[in-house]
Amino acid sequence: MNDLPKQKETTLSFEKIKKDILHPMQNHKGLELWIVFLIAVISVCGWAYYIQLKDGLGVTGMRDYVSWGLYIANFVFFVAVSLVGMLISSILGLLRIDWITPISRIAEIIAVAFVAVAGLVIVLDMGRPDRVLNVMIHGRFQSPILWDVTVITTYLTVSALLLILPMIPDLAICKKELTKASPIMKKLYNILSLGYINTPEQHKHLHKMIRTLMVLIVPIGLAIHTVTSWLFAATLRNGWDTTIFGPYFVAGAFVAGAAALIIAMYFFRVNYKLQDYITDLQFDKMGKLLVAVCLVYLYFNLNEFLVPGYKMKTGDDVHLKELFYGHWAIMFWSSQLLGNIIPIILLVYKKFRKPLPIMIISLFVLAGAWFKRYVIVIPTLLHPHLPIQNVPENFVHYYPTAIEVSVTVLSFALVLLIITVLSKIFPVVPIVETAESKGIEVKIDA
Amino acid sequence: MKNTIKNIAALFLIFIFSGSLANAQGWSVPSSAKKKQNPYEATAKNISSGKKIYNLNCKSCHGDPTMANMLPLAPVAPTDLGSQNFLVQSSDGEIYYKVNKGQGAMPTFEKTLSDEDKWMVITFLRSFDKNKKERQQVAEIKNPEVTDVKLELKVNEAEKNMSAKLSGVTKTGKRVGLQGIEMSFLVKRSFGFLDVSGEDPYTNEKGDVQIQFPKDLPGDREGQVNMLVKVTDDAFYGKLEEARVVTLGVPTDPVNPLDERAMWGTRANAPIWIIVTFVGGVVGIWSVIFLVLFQMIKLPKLASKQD
Amino acid sequence: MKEETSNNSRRKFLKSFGISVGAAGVVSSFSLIGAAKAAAKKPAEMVNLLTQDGQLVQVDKNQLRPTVTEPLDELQKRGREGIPGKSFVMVIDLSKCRNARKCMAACQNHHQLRADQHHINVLQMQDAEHTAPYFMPKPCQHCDNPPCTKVCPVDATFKRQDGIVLIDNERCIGCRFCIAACPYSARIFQWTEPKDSEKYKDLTYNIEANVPQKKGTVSKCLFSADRLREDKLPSCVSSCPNGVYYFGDRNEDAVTNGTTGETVRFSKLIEENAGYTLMEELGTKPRVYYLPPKNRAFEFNGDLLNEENLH
Repeated sequence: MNDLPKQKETTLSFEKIKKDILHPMQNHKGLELWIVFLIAVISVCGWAYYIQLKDGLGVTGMRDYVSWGLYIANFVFFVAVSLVGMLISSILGLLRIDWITPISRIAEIIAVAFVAVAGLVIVLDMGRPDRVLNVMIHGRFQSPILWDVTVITTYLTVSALLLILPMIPDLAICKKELTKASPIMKKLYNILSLGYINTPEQHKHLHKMIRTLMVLIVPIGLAIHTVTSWLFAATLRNGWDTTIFGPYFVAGAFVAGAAALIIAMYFFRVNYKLQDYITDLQFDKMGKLLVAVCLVYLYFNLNEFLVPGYKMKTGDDVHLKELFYGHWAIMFWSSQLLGNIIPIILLVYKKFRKPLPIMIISLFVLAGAWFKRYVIVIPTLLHPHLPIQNVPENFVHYYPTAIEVSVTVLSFALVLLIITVLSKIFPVVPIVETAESKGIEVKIDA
Repeated sequence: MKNTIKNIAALFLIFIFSGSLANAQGWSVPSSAKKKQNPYEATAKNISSGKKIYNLNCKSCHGDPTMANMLPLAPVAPTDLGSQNFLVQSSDGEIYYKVNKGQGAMPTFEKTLSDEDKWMVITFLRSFDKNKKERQQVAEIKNPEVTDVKLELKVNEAEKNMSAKLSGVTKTGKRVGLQGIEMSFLVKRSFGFLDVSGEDPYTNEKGDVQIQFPKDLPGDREGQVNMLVKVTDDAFYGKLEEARVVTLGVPTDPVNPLDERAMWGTRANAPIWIIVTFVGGVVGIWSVIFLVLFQMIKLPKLASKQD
Repeated sequence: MKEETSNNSRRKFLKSFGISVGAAGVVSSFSLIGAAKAAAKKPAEMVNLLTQDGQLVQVDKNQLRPTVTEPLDELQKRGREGIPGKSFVMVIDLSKCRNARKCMAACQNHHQLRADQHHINVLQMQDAEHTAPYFMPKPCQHCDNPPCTKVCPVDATFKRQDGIVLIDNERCIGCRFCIAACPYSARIFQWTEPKDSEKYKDLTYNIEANVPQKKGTVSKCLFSADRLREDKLPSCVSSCPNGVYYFGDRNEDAVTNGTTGETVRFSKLIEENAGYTLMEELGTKPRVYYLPPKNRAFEFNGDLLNEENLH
């Protein structure tokens, strides 16, 4: 089921590609069940959020000292994962690297899903979500939050466009081929395909627009993560008050994003039976890419922890000792070792870059990335400059409550739901691009 | 002889009584400390300066002497230090010891008050001791009995000094200066009066007193300050004071920190470059996005062109 | 002895009355109307009231009228503008602080805070292993380069012309970025329904005292800006029994001690006592100055967190 023993030299025709890719969209029984399950999870966890809305953020484990907790860590993680869209379809796309063709759409779907929910997570964290429009009305240019909100909205828009625009030829196919689709879907395909029939003019025009957006998303993608890092780096706290946070976060985002993409690739390959398209080659290349970005991230980690650890400045010392061999040591070292160093070593070997092993490794990398965000956000807040005194016992520690965990589960379920729905209504592998890259003639009827 | 025995008996009784009381409150004062004598005389000057020090350091808990308006602390409320009971029971040396050492809620003043200050306070307290009133009277400077006491002020803006003249009309109808009276020269500040009287604000034999106004004390934009000049102790001639706006301060233009654009300022005060960067970035990127969207509308037309 | 007890009870009464008046800030108007209505039916009943100059007076209950509060817009406008020409500073004399915590209580009273919520917090400090421990009251430092107002996305927290950093809980979105940004941990958040929120829900919001507090918003020390408008010292300053606090206007170069009422030159006080600001290396330019804990008037007796050790 997992990997085929050898890449079968199947002769692909345009018709076969169409069939292989479009078939699972309509004939996948488990998918509906999965969607129902996700909606059930979202409803149950939505109740948790309702309690938080009613009783205030006091139902979370956050208090005056640890005033940002699980939500913000999760937000940073989501923003990080979303950066994969920019990495794969834009940077590699602009470099005309051809092996990304079958996985670029999955990357865009991940980007859209994660960045959309990241924006929502920020609202979930707010004490007064009813005043969210104040950010538009009274927005201060000096606040990283205004920049963050702006950049996230922009990134979501451009990512969505970068999902849809390259898909226009495929949508034109969907319009024709998916005869069993519901009337609403048909209408959607009809509108979004914009009367595309693959004339040379249309092709040229469309790709010009796509390339424009690919260039545009590079600064936005860098900005989204840099600005998110400024939420921390703009403060005067030990552990956050550092100048490399921008690139450090960007590097970390590439790691998280690449790992998330590998996991998604694997599941689509298996569940949608796309072994002919998402091949071992893609996993092998993604494995190499993951090693590369992990090495960059490791380099930043080295700077981020070795330099202050060498000096042990007042304030930093308590913070670093807690990370290195104190309360946070297990989480810190497992995120470093299991989430970065060991994967680098393993992925150097070709056999670990096969679909299943690399998927498992990526799970560790992704989990490590999540815990890394947690370790970035919370310990710093527990080590302020002045002693924590005269407050109840629960102000001195931070343990997320069931409500907080539920709301976080909600955000994950929402991400998965968006990915699932997008992959149900849109072909996850570009049909036309795949055919073109294999030199197969593409025909789209009007 | 009889007197001596009486005195000794009285002393003895007092000793026992004070001892037991001291025990009740947990004070134990070594007998050597009790013998310490106040080296300062009970002059009006000393009493007055003692009063000032008392008001700053003791009043917050002990209240005004003889008024019994001390702070109601539990379990032991501060003593009314002007009560005859206390004054009879405590020798000067004993009070000095207690002020130095402190006990329980009573802080130690060993380091916060100078020896002179402490003795001044004791002199002030002793002035409430009915047994010692006579001595105090003797030490006071005698002014003739006067009516229609007047306070006149003169301000020399060039030299930044100020003088006050205190005079009254004697029974013979002659206006004379009142000597040896302490005056207070106070500058109105937001939450109280700043005393600029200097070291020796006592009227001379003509009833005059002159003070040097601080050269660097800020006034308003024109250098004006609100002055209040008064006889420090109301006990002499009742409440006698004169308020005056004088131009002795340093003209000060208050700096409004909001006048400058700053990173910490409100949106209206944001640095220009950050507004330009933000607006420029947003407008730039979104115009490209809209351009692309607009271009996409052309796509269907391009299809028909082919046909 | 009898006199003393009656005095005691008077004090206690004053204290409790002070609490109810102080707590409301602007006297809870609706409750007073209710009281006046109820009283109208009864024959003249006298109530004791504390006047501004500290006198206890008896007033016919029927005569009571609610305090006229300014409308919200007016309060917001003047609260955001501040008092022209002033530049408020605080001086905290660490040599005098013996952890009486009257400042904390008065502050919580004034700003409707629970006992575990601190606009001002008295910390036990020890700077290094072999240095002397001391008590350090820590209010908001009202920095002249405030890291908190820099990061606020909606101008909810801001600095006004008299130097005070305020928080507007009518606008605060509860993102808590300012809490993260403040190196002095001076800000708190209303995680749940604030204390007595039901009681104060009809009060007009007074930005200068940040009352009534609101769930889901940030709160902080405001130097009792509402009291300053009436030329009164901040609650903490005037409630200290040990003469720790000086407060005043830097433009006037004068600060007044809240306990003794003594007014001294600000510059001289700082100069003669080697005054410093907290964590000046962070560049926040605080408006709260500290005088070092030298020549202390008492012995630091270790952990004073339990009440019995306070005296």
